[in-house]
Amino acid sequence: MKEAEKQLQYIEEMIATTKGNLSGGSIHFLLWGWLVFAAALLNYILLNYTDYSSPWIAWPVLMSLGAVLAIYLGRKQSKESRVVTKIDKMLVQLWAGFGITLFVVLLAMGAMGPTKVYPMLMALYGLGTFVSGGILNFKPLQIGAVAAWICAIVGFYQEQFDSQLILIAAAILFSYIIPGHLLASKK
Amino acid sequence: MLKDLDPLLHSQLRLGVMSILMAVEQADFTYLKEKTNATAGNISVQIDKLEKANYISVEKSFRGKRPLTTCKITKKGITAFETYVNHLKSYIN
Repeated sequence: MKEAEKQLQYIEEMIATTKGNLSGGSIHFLLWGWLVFAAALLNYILLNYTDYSSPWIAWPVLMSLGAVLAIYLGRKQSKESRVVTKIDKMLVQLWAGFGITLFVVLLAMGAMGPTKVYPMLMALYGLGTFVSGGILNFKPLQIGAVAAWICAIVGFYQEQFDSQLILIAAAILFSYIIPGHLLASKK
Repeated sequence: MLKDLDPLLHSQLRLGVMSILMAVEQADFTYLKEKTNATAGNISVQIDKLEKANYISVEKSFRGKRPLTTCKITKKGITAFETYVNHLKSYIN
């Protein structure tokens, strides 16, 4: 029946129009990527080249800044967007779960110490970017995830805390910053 | 016109709106209007009909000073849409 075929074709055409721009999430990868990268390197510099008593200070400062900026950007995006796709919903669920897991893992810092917790964070970056890459069909995120997992494996065998700082900077560079810039340039 | 097909979905514009809402979580009025290439008056009538049949839920709010109409497909709407598509397929096979 020609009419039935025509209707099915119309349904497909309409569904195809909803496949929009997927690069909107790149801003969040870049925001967190650069903040974590900066915090890790600042911590490394303050720890190794100064006598400053709180070399970790960049973490609470930059991560709080990140949270404020992420909430602001999220609100702005949801105000401007006229549609919420299934992909948007999946990504929000994934990263909300990621955020909670990150918080739970950070709670273990006192009991396990940073040399065990940092590699767990790197492995977690790998999980988040691997699944995001799969949902978005964007390979660089998944390649970055593999790099983060390798950093995590190496990290589990490093007793020195300053090595963890270099590894976490590398993990975030490969899993967030590079894929984030590549995703942004897809616009 | 094919027999046994849901007349609510057989109109092209209403089918377009339902197809889009099947594919996304939610969409606002302007988005639906642009994607279906419909006029504001026409699409507003069709959205109203789909809402009255409980195929979609419509939420009216404000974005700043401008009114915002957000549409989302309901469970009843999903079932109706799937039944409609299955009927279409049975005509082809």
